[in-house]
Amino acid sequence: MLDPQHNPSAARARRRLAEQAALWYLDQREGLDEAQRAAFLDWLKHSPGHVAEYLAIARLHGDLKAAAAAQTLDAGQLVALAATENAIVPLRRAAAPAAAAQPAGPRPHRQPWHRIAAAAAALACVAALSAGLALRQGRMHPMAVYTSASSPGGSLELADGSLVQLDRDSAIAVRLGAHRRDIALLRGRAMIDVGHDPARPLQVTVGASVLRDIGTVFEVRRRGAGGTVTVISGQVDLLAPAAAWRRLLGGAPRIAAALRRGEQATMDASGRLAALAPHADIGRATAWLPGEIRFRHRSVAEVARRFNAYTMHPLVIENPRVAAMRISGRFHARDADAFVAYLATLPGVRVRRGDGCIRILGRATSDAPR
Amino acid sequence: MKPDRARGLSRLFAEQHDPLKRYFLKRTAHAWDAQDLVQEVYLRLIAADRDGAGAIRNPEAYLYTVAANLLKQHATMKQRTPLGSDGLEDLLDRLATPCEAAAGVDRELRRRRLGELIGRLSPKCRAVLTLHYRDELGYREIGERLQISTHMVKKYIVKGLAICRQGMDRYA
Repeated sequence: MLDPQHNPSAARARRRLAEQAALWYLDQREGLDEAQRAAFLDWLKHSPGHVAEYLAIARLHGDLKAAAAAQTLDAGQLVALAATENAIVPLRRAAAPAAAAQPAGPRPHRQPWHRIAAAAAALACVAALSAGLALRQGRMHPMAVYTSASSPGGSLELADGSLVQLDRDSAIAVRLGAHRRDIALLRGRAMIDVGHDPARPLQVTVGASVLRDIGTVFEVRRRGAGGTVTVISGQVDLLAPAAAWRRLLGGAPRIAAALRRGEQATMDASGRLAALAPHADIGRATAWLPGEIRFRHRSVAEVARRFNAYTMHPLVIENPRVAAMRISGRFHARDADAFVAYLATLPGVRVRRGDGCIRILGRATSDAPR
Repeated sequence: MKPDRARGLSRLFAEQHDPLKRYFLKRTAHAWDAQDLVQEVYLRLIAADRDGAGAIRNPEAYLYTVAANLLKQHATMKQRTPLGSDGLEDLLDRLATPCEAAAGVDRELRRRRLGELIGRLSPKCRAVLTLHYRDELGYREIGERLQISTHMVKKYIVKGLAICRQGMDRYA
């Protein structure tokens, strides 16, 4: 029973075999011409496995009418639901900025990313998000569902510049609207590093809780019907549960708790704050993240953000020239200092510590006219 | 080690032994019958085709006929009542289940599970399958309602059938 999970290529082969058998079965019902009949016979003669598969499909087919009759949705509902499937867009990395036009060289390393648009998850977030959004915005923005498989998901860059890392067996739904951005954590855990966009506030839904983010890095996790949020850096507002209704009417949301760096809030099934730990164990909250950060030909700004998921003292790259520099390397993710030391060796780079962050500056002399 | 607990367990096992044994017997008989029959059907298919090109005019009908004959022999051998008049459905059931009573129970259970699997398909796949098999709409009609080509409708049915087939396998 566990075998298909353990052996994905065998599972794929079985799926292909089942599809072949199903296709032959349907073709057979439509009527085969002479050539098709010969091809069908050849397919059957290939192995007893093919014969067994064909008989299995035939048996399944015999049950289909009775099984389909148990579907409770009527035709109209099914069609409407099917239309939502279009809204699930495949994952695409954000297009590289124009400045990133590179000389010929190795292509940037792409993180492996499991993307199975989970229908069940999609439905869950249609229910969670569509009502409010459709009313407010008049039209629906496409919603994307990202799901990680049993291995930890890679990191994902959303079109608004937000960076999301998914733990194994996790799923989020993302909708980037013209006036607001919504992320729903459907299951599992996610580390979210929010792209700065003051014109479009970002809201994260975890169970019944709604978090509003103000340029920050935080971890969210589903726990039963509730959830937790751990603020790595920056600030996150936990909105009062009633706020959802008030938002629809245009009123300002009421903030139940303003969570600061290092704080961990636990929310109950109704979305209310159940516990607040002032000094969360950040190491524990981020223990699921990969232990290593690898990058090939990525910008300093991009790599620095990946380190910022692990540390309460984020790296802030202030100099745009430094931020755009392309670097390659491999570091222990929990040793941001080693990375900072490496940055300090790059030409024209200065490091300044303080104010709860590590600022990376350009060298004053290199910017000054000679 | 508490002797009471050990005795309790052994008593429990003794009480459960018969149902457990029946369960395993049923399972193994189930697996053995089906595999054996498929093997035999396959061998006859190969042999018949070797007898001469075009000897098998209708491969599907041939499969069913051979399977039905084998089941009839098998039933006689095992002193079971031969195949009833239910025809094809019964035949296919019997390919996988050792006796009629089990076939009936399994059929109901199977349909319920299959219904659950259909409910878990992607929205399009689920819609296509349900509209086709429950509402008896043709490919073209389904395509018009979902705004996809008839070719895609068939693809969704194939995909849905394969997913359900694999899903049912996991229950077995």
